[in-house]
Amino acid sequence: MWLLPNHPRIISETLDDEIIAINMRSGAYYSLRGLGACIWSRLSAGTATDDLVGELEDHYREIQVASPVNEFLARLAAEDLVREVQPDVAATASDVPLLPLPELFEPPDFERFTDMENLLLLDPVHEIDERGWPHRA
Amino acid sequence: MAGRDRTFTCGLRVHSGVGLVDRNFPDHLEELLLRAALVEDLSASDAWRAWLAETGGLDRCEWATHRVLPLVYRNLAAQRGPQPEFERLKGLYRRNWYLNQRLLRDAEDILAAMNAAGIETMVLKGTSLIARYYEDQGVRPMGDLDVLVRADAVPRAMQVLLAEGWLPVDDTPLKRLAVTQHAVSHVRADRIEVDLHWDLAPRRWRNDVWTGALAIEIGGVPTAALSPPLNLLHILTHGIRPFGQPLGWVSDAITIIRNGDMAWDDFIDAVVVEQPGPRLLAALVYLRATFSAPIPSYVVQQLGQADLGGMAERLADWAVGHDIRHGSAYPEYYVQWRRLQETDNDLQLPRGYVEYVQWIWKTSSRWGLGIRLFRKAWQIARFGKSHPSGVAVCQDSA
Repeated sequence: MWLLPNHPRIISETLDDEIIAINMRSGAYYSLRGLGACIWSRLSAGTATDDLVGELEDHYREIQVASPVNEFLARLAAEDLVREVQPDVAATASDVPLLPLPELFEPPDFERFTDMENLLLLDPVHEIDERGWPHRA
Repeated sequence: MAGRDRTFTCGLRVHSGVGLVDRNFPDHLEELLLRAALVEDLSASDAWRAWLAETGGLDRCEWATHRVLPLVYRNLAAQRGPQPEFERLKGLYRRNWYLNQRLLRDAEDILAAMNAAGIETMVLKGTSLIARYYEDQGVRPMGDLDVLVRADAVPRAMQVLLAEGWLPVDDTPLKRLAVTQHAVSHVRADRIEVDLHWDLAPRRWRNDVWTGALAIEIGGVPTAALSPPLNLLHILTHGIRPFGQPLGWVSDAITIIRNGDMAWDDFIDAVVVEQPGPRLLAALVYLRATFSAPIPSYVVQQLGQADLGGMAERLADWAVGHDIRHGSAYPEYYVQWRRLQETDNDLQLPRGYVEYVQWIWKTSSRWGLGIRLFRKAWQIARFGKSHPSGVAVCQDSA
């Protein structure tokens, strides 16, 4: 199976080791870090999900990655962040740099922010924590 | 340029004392911030640390500095090694990126509606700069949208905006607005502002802004942008006039110059036609000297010998550059009035300069004009030279 970011409904950007994304229909904002961001970069590059799981199994030997990864992919799909495409479409995916896999395995995850109007009202310097907006102090 | 006292009071910049204060050019702290944002070597990090040390940190920064902090983030991210306050800078970038995405989607909808109505469009300021020069949708705050259409298309364009749910904020009849303004703002509930332009500035442009326009797309929707020489000229003239923000125009100008494939001969020609006044040359010299902007020396030499404006333009420049707080508008209005008379249009113009000012201030009579002038003079007399400027630096500029 091939999953690509659900453009144009989803707009995403890579910030260092983080992927940030917006669902333009709902306005929800997402942040993917760690293994979640790495998976996103591979999906964006047109990697098939089976190949993705295989790469992770090779990297994280003796760790059962398939279940948490597939659960993560299902959550991405449930949020409309990704859509299933045919191989020929996946082959035209952008040549995006792949984020390096973390050394230690942690189940992939993403943060979802829906209270955007209130988050935008926050003072982005004084009312946020050390992680920066959109994390409230 | 003389330094100025700075007191951070809820985002308002308070001046005290007298002296030459050209608020359109960066002061020392703003220069440090701009270096952190624009310099492409390790001194950017040094400038950032110096700015933090001298201001007391991000917690004490003015709202106006947010204009450039996302660009600081991107520039520092390219440097090696940890940077202080990096995560909060990154947060500012994320927030700005998010806001810009929403604005750009609004821009797509508006431009698509204009295209469907057969109206040719050009995006100005932030929208065009992000699309054509910054190549990054998070570094440059947009604030609002600026769309230019040809003058004869304005009524239809306003109908298109109305159909999309955007309402004009000024109910002045269009034929009066066409004389006193260069754009009319529209807002939609819970949305940002769209400024519908028929000209680039209150001072009517002599250059044909559509000449050499670049074909661009916003989210796949075709539109246009000013040519690089005219875009640079627009940013500079906008920045060095009243309410221009130094952090904004300097970062925009440097970015255009670096990324714009600048046709410097065309720029010189445009400046000579526009006659913006000698401060434009000062801006170019400043960018070269302070930020090593790649402006060829012959450009400065030729413009130094060119006629950049008559007595009216020079007086307007002098008033702005010398911080004549309550008086700089009047020479500028006079230049605007003169430029209006040059334009080839069928607008009903005011009978003279005084009536032009009356129209701008929307006073119905010369008595109303006189009362307003008296009130301003009373404020000056009452507060004297130590009157806080009260410039709300959170005003959107470009």
